[in-house]
Amino acid sequence: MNIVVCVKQVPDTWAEKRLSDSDKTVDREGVEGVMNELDEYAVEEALRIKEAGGDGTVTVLTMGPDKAVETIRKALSMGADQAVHVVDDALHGSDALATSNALAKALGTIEYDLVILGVESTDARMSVIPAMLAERTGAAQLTFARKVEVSGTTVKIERQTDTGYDVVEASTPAIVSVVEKINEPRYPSFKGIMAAKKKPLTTLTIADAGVDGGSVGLAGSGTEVAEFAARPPKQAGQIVKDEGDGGAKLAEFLASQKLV
Amino acid sequence: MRVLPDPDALDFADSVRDLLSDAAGSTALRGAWDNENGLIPGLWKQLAEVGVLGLTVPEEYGGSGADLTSALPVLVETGRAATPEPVVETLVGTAVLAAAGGELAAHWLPRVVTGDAVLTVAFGPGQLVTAAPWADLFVVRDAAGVRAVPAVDVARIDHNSVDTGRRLAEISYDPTAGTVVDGADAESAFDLGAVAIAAQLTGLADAMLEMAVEYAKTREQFGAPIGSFQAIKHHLATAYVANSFARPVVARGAFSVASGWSTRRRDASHAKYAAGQAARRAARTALQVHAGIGYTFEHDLHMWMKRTWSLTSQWGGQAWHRERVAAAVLDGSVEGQG
Repeated sequence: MNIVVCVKQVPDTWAEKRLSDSDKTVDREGVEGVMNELDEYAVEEALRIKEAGGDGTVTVLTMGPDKAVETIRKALSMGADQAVHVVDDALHGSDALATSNALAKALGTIEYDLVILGVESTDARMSVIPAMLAERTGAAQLTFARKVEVSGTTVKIERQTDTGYDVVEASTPAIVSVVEKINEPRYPSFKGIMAAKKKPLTTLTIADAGVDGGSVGLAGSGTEVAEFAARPPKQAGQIVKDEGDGGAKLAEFLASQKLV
Repeated sequence: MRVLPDPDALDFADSVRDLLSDAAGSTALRGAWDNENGLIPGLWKQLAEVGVLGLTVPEEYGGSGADLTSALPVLVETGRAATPEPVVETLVGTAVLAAAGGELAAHWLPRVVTGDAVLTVAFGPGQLVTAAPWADLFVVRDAAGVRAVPAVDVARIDHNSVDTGRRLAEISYDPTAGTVVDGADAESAFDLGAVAIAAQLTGLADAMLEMAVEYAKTREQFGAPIGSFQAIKHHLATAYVANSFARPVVARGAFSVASGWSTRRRDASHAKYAAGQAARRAARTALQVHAGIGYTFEHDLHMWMKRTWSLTSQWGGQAWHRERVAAAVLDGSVEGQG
């Protein structure tokens, strides 16, 4: 089974995230880039499926600036076989719609049965790319998976819901997005890190991938950030001093907030 | 060979740092202090899987064949996490066996690399042994040179240590037990251990300073975070500088030992001494910044301080290493250890 894992380099999970003033896109210069945490689960799941099946390749696909190659290298260190990096200045500022367009085109250059993604990125947090990819490629959509079972050309997942899970089944090709409950991602080993350097990495411009320049980037995006503001600082809490009437005051407070 | 580790070694250290912070944080460490064998359950196997245990073991025995320079960043991380497991002992013991080669190496090394067998070492005279309760093989220095003694032939008396995260024991065995390791160079093994411990000490110092800085930023007194007062921040800066100055000395020590340079004794001792002084200063400063809370068992700091005290007095104490450097510098003579 050939599997593609889509990964994204995002600003460090714990770093303060900023939008740049000039074009209102995420500022990726000032902070350290890391692999989107949920994508680590996607890579792990792809490796497990490949290891269980015993054949096929795991290809890492990413779209992002030159620096995103660090994230590719991490996925290769974990054990993926090869990588495709779509890098082009014209892609800067692409929203989910434009990104899914470019990724779908890039997918067209790779042979795959399964595409696995993390359920969302920690910077944009849209959670729609998997569904959009399914729509654009015509592959089955198996999202929010907390468990994936592959048997021949059938893929069965447990789809996480608010109250439990649904069992969803489809034939390949399929697009799967995974939640963090699904596994425990491995740590890159020293041998994995050494081997990663020798693995094939294909770099594609949008022209190579057959993407129309007008359909990506800020101009090609369907959405636009009109304005933004920092979240207001937390208001100081109200301190209730207990002078024998603490209980009553608490009840009063809860009632005023319509909580009781 | 380079003095500084290559990017792969740094990437690997990042990976090990992630592993240790997930699997061996302070709660797990506290557990190791309290449990029977002083280990973090499951961690040894994980360290084997990512390649820490076999990092410097030749590839023919299943290792990665890296040199000491490339191992330094990982050793720093095991120091930063105050890892109780015998990482340094494994590094030294496998180096001795690999250098000797033969049946002994072929029998033990592949199993040590996978974490299925554990070895520990004792190189100083009367030196207490760590990880003795669960070691399968003891690589010890004695009158015959270096001897590899299987655990079954070793008797041990457990000792109390200030650092319960690093259990110590006195061992004894029949003078003819086990196998004499042919051509083993005990002096070089000792230097290797001294540099590896030095690397751990710089990691311990980093961790203690990070704790102290974090505390100084949150703890308020006189209406301001205590870190804003010169009496606090200057102390912390001095300790940070001392550790920053120790790091290149440790890198030089590793380079000299790995390259077999004639100055390796001096450089190994300098590394251990400089890193030891910096770590002790970091411990003292961190304790002072934390004030009362730092003295309590409930706060994490004590586990890092006690590891610092225990490591600065093992593999040659501070005074011993200082004298060895002085001897090398003043009259060019370098005494061997023991």
